[in-house]
Amino acid sequence: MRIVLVGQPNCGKSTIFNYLAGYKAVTSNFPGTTVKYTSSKLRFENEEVECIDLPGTYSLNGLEPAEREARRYLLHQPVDVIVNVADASLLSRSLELTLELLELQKPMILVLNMMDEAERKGLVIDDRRLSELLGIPVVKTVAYTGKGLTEVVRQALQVKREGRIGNLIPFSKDVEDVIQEVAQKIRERGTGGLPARFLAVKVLERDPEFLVMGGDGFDDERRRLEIRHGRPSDVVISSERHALAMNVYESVVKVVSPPRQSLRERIDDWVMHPVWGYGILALVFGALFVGVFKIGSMLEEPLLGAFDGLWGSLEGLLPGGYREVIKGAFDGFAAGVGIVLPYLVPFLFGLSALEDSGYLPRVAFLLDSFMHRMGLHGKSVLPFVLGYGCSVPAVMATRVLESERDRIMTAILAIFIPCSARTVVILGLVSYYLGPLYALLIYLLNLAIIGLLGGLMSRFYPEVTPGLILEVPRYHVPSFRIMVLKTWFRLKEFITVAWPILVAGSALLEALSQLGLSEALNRGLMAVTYPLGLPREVGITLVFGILRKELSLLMLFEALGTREVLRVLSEGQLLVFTLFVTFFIPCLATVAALGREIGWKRTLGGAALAFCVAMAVGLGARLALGISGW
Amino acid sequence: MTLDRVPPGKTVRVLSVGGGRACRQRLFSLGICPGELIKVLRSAPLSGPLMVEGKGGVFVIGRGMASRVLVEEVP
Repeated sequence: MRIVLVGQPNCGKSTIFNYLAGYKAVTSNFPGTTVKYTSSKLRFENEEVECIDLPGTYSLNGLEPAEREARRYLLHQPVDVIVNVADASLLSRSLELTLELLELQKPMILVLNMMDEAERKGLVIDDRRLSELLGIPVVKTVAYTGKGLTEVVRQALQVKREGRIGNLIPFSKDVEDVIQEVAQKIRERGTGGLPARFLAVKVLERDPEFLVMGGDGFDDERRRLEIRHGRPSDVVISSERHALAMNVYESVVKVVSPPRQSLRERIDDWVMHPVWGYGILALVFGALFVGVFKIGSMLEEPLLGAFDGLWGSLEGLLPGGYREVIKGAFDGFAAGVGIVLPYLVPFLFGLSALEDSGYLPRVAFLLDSFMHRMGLHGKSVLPFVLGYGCSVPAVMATRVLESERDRIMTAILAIFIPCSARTVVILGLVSYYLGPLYALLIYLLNLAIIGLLGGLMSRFYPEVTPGLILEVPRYHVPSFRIMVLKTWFRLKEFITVAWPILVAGSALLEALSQLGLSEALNRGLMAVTYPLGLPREVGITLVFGILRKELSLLMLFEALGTREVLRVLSEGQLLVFTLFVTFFIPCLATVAALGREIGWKRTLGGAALAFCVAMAVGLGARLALGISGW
Repeated sequence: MTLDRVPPGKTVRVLSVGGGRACRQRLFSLGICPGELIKVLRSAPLSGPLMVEGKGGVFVIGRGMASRVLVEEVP
């Protein structure tokens, strides 16, 4: 038994999914957060139910990769029940997708989510009448409080048992006649298991994917529609569907009180103000980083001190031969607790709050014209902001962009954004030893270089996209529970994947140096370290940095044999090292994600670009700071 | 006139939506289709995007896209 959640972006599918399945899908107040489907099994009244959360899609047109993913799943995977989630406060628009889904002829229910918001807008929805018109059950819910969600599963099981598929509401007679003619021809050719009427509509909409499937030969039919209505056949079909949705909407919805001038507009007046908006933007992100640094540095020292004490009492108990290697593993473990977590936890928490508040789409509004300077548009802001958390979701988030060129460019530029691991290096090294101002300068330099790269890239690949179109959701006070769950969800990745690598890597480094191998490696890496004016010993830390960015920092302590790095490195060298690590080749996980999203050849190009930029920035910094050779 | 020339605070009616098939369908699915009313709420500086409100909700639309939407003033 498999139920599939389908709906338009930001209607709360993932919130419903998480309520039913435990926190397994990242939710945020930004349209298009889910870019691939998530699945989870749950038990309900002694029945095992597999629940699938699909990426949000405005229609079944598949205009962007995330939408195509949703459509592909619906058409080609076994689906027992479609659970169509709609934002009740935007019902007229949501109904257009509902009408399209009904054409798939599968058991289906309609969930009217965000009922509280609809009430606030003064909408009264006659759910019984709606259910009669569509021929499917309609359930009212408020997902973030959990209201009505058990009923969703109960109704889904019920329609599956009854095999109840909804009504097909016909278009106006002349259009419907053409659809039926095309459908008949498609039926004769074979539908490949898909409903013929659905295919006919897609063919008339000139959907490229189905033009190939159905073969063509429907030019006559399309032309007939075009001549009769005086516009392209896809416009005829969408107008029909729009009119139908409006009809349904008007017969079930009453507006009892006019919408009040909302708080939202008053906040927007400030946040999206042509001058104050940018000040607030700088303040918000500045506060996030300063806050993370303050909390992190406050915790770092006592934690590391505690581990040093612990090692002191452990040391004597260990057998002599392996002591150094065990010390390496212990340091890796300690660094995870003492250096990474103090910065990572507050940062992820802050990022969650930012995502859930609904502020980010406003940032897209503010930065759109700047993004155009580098040949992108405002929607690329989301992958960039996510990039400060981790490059992997950032690269995946490019799926919300419509054009392939924008996706490739955004993905390659997003890997230059310092992820939380690199933030740990920047805050734990530069900020900690040289002061937060230097860290801030690194972030600004990073943005400037990304802008420069974007400008250069769009010179070679000129902008062709029509530009930005992005829904602006309501503000939402982030729920503490969701923020904790989300932070934990992202932290798990560090604990299960990165931490073991830290421990093993740290032990390996010790073993290598015990065997005298690290010396050889470092000698080979002088090709990189020598021109940058860095001591030879740091060479190996850069190699470990490819596994995980935090490793560069921890290995640095390990390689130099002290945490008092300023005794061994000059301040300038510290800066050059951090800059190099910030821009250097992305970690393996990012490379893998990038390969999947944009292809391996481009990924190789991106990694090579990153290396060149890191070298150039490192050399530039060395010259600017006047560091002599080692 | 085209949507990108509408000053903030004004409500207009959509006459037609140009652009390619994909651009058109995206605008349609957000409720920007012929006959519908749209209110321009604000516009970003430096020829940045517009923020508009229609039956389909509130959204941000770049100048490029807005220039493909033909509108008329409503009295």
